[in-house]
Amino acid sequence: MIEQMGHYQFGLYAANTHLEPEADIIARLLEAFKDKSFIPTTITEWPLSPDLRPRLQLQFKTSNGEWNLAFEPNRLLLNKAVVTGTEIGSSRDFAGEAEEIFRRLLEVKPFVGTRLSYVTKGLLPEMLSGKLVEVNGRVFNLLPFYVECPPYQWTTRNVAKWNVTLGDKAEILNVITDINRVQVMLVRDKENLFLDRIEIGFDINTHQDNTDPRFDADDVGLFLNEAIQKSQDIMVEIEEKLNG
Amino acid sequence: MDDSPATFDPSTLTSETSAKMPSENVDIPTASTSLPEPLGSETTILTDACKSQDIPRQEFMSRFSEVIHKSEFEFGFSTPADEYVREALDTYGTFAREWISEFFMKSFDDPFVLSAILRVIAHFDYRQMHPQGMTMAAACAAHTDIDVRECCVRCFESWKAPKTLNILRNISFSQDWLNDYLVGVISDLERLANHVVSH
Repeated sequence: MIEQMGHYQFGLYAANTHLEPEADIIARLLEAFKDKSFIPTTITEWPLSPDLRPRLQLQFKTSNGEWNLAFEPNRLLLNKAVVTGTEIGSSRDFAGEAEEIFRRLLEVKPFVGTRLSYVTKGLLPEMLSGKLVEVNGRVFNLLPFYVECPPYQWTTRNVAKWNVTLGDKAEILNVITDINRVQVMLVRDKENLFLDRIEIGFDINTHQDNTDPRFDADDVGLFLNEAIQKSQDIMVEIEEKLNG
Repeated sequence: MDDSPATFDPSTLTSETSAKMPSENVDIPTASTSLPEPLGSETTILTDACKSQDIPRQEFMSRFSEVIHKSEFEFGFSTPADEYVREALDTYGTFAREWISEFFMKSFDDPFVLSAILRVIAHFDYRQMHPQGMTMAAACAAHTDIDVRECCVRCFESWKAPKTLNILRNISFSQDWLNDYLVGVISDLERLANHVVSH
């Protein structure tokens, strides 16, 4: 079970999701999110191409930074982060909020999604150093050198295609699972906290080959339910694997 | 083979967001030796391109905060904070607006600083502060502090920009006097809009 959650993220990819921060659209979005305590803001978006000029990206966020809805160039990205003094809640809670936020958003600006994504990351509870080494042995078939000198940092990334049906749409999802040993510094109550933990990450997204505009508000909840259920199923398998 | 290594492009598989500067109070890992570089975004936000601006940015934040706390704000009068922002706009252009906006977000729970920022930006032309000025004022329409809400309306009154009417028409306040003030500003802007159209 994840003990220290990092964030939840939902993305809807679509053409031209960049919105100029103009009074009209800000007014409509403020009205749509009036019970969400979202406030509009802008950040500078630096294009990777030197031929393009920087421009301002519109975002709606809560003042404590817990929620952030970004209008990126080709993606609407909703992020929920852990902030001091609040509980991040469950992935199901996040899915419910994301579905509601995107239903309202797509009523104001009816983008049609080409891809959907769900990303989350978190840390397992603390383990003794011997157990961390044992976990490494369960995940990897180690080279002799690393058996002799156990690694203190390692990463794994598994990517698989998975067929699902979202409503009436047959979709292929990329199911990406990361299992890593990480050393991280957390800032909690202005104190630095050093952790040496197993990190679990999921990135589940619709397959990159299908870029047809086809996803609307109804698909957000369907997708998130599938993605979250799959991540929970894999989490059970991870725990079984790590605990033997 | 569909997935031959020669054509494998991991950036199309992953959907992780690009690197962003997290809020200071966001309780997420701030250093890790194993987190992969983010992939799959077309932009990089406030990273390398902005590093060259980091020193003046920090200096601006620090000085602006200092000047605000030393200034005495009275409606209708300019302050040293106005002058400081004017100089910053002349020197740094759009960066200065972004820094004000960033300082504004960091100060969102401080009504004194927030009111001060709104009073300062209200003294500039709408276009000089656009779009960050309008965005900051709009963000304050539902603020819990009544002085901040009043300063929000004063910004729109001062800017005289009919295109902000849509924002003002979506605002309502529980205090009668503030609501009356808001309605008055809306009427003025509507008259201005009609005047612009008829000419």
